[in-house]
Amino acid sequence: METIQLLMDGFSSALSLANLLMAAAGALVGTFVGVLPGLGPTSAIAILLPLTGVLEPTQGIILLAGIYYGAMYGGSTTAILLNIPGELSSVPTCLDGYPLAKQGKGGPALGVSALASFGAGVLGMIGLVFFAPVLADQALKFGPPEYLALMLLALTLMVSLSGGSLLKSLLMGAFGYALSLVGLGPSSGMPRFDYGVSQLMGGFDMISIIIGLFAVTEVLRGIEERRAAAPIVRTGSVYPGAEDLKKSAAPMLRGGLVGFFLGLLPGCSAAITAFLAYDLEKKVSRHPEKFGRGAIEGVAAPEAANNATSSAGFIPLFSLGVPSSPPLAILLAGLMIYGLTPGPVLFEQHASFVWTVIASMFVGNAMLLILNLPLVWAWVKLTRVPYGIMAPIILMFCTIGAYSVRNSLFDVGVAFLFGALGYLFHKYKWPVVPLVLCFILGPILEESFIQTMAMGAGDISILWSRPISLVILIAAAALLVFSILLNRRTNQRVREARARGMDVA
Amino acid sequence: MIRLRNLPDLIGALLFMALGIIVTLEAFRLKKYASMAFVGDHTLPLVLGSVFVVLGAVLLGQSFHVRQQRKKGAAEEAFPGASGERTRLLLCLAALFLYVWMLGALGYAPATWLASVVLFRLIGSYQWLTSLFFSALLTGCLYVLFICWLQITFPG
Repeated sequence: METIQLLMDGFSSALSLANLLMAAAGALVGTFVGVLPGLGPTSAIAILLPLTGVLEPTQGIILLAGIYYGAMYGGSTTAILLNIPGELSSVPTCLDGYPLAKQGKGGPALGVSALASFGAGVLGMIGLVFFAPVLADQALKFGPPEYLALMLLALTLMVSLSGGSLLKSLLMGAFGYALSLVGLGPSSGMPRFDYGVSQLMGGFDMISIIIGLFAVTEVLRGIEERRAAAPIVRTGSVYPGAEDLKKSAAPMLRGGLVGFFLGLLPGCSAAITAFLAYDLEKKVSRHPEKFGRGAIEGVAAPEAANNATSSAGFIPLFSLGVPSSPPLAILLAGLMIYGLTPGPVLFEQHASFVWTVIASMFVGNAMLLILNLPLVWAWVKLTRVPYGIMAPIILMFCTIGAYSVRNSLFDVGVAFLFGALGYLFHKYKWPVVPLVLCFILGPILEESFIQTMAMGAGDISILWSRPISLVILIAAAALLVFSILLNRRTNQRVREARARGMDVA
Repeated sequence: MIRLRNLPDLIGALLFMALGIIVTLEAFRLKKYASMAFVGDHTLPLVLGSVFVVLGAVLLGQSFHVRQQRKKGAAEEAFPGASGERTRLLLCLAALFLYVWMLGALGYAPATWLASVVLFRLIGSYQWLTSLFFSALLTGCLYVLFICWLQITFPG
C-alpha cells in the first residue's frame, strides 16, 4: 500500500507541466537519436547530461530517461523501414520488419512495434514499482564487503559487453580502471598519475571520455565511411489491423516477460533479450518457416523484449547502483553528478525524486505511443539530412557538452583525444564499453576494497564469510558462465544477420 | 613456422605491457604513503599493472601463430580505408584540436565559426561560400542557445 501511495505522489509530481515537458522532450529527442544510425542513446545522454545542469535533478533525469526508452523506439523505425537497426537491440526487428516493409506492410509493422514497446515498457515499469523498493530494502543491509562483491558482480558485465574478444574486453576494463586512478588517492589524498600536470590532479572527467568514445568516434567513423541517406520504402497506414493485433498479442506478452526478467540481471542487455525473445517466438510458432520472411510475431516479440529490458534495467540501477547497459552507466554518472547516490539510500533519502522519475516513465511511454506513430514520416525524413551537415553540428554539441561539466578546455581536448582513440578501438575491434563501465565503477570498487580490508584488519576472507556478500559472489560466478554462453549465442546471431547483408549500426 | 598474424593486436599488446610497467612504477612510488602494508592507494595500481603485463603478454602471443594452410578462396583481410578518406579524417582531427586552442585564444564565436567552416568543407565537401553560410548559421544558433540563453561562459 505504501508503494502505491508513493507512486501516486510520484504521478502528481510527474504530471506537473515542467516534468511533462521534460518527458515529452526526452521521448522526442530519444526517438530522434534512435532514428539516426550511429548516434545512439549513450551518445545523446552523454552530450546532453552536462547541459541538463540548468534543470533540477528530477527534470534532468526524466529528460535523460526519456531519451533512453525513446531511442529504443526510434531504432526500430529505421530497422523496419530501412533495414538499418539504430541499436543492436533492433537487429532482430530487421529480420522480419524489413521484409514486411518490402511487402507494403511497413505501417502495421511500425504500429505493432510501437504497441509492443508501450505494453512491455509499462510491464517493466510495474515491475520496477514493486521490485526496486524490495531490492533497495535488502540493500540497506549492505556494507563495504557487500559493495565490493557487487562491484565484482558488475565486472561480469564485461563478458556480455565484450563484443567478441574476452581478452581485449578485460584489457579495456583494466584500462578504464587505470584511467579512474588519475587524480587524488582515496586513502592518502596524494596525487596519482599526475606527472606534474595540474589539470590531471582533478582526474579525467567521465563525461568527456564518454562523449569522445561514443559521439566523436561515431562522427569520425561516419566521415571515413562517407555516410549518405539510404533509400526508404513507403508504408501506408501505421495503424495495425485486428488480425495483426491478434497475432501479436501473445508474442508481445512472452517477449515482455523474457525482457523483464532477464533485464533484471546486470549484464543482460536489450540486445541479448531481443534475440532470445525472437528465438523463443520462432520455436513456439506453428509456422517457424515464416520467420525471416515477414512474420509480424518476429517484430512484436523482440520489440517487447528490448523495451521491457530498458525499463527493468532501472531496477538494479536505482536500488543497487549497478548499471546494466551503457546508457544506464551514463545515467548513473548523471545521478552522481546531481549528488544522488544510487542504491538503497536513494529510496530512503530521495523517495520523491525516485517515484517521480518512475511515474514519468509511465507518462513518457504513453507519449511515445501517442506522439510518434503519427510522426513516423517526420522521423524518417531526418535520416535524409546529409551527413556533411549533421556531423559538424554533432561535433559542436560535443564541444559544449564536454566543456560545460567543469568549464575546462582540457576536458574538450580529452573528449577529442578519446574520440580519436575510440576510432582506433573500433577499427581494431577493441570494445569500449568495458572501459567506460570500469571507469565509472573503479572509484567505488577501490573505496569498498579499502574499507573491506580495514574492516577485516587486512584479511580479505571477510568477503566470503558474510552471507550476503557470499551469495553475491556465487551469483557473480553463475552470471559469468551465463553471460559467456549468451554472448556467444548473440554474437553468432549478429554474424548471421551481417552475412545476410544487414548494416548493423 | 611462426608468423605475425595481427599487427594492430601486437602493437596493442606492447602498448598495454608498457602501460603496465608505468602503472606498476607509480604503485611503488605510492607505497610509501600507505598506512597499511598491503592496502592503500598503491594496491589497485599494483594489481592493474600486473594485469596489463600478463594479459598483454597473452595477447602478444595470440598475435603470432603457426603458419597454417590457407583455405581455398579465403581472402586476406584488406587494410581498411582509402588513403583519401584517412587524410580527411586526420585533417578533421587536426581541425578539432586546433579548435580547442582557438577557443582559448579567440573566444567561442570566432573559433566556432572558423572550425565549422573547415568541418563543413572537409566532411560535406561543400563549396567555401556554402560552408561559410552554414557555419555562420550554426555559430549563430549555438551562440544564442548556449551562451545567451543557457549562460555557458567560455574563456575570452
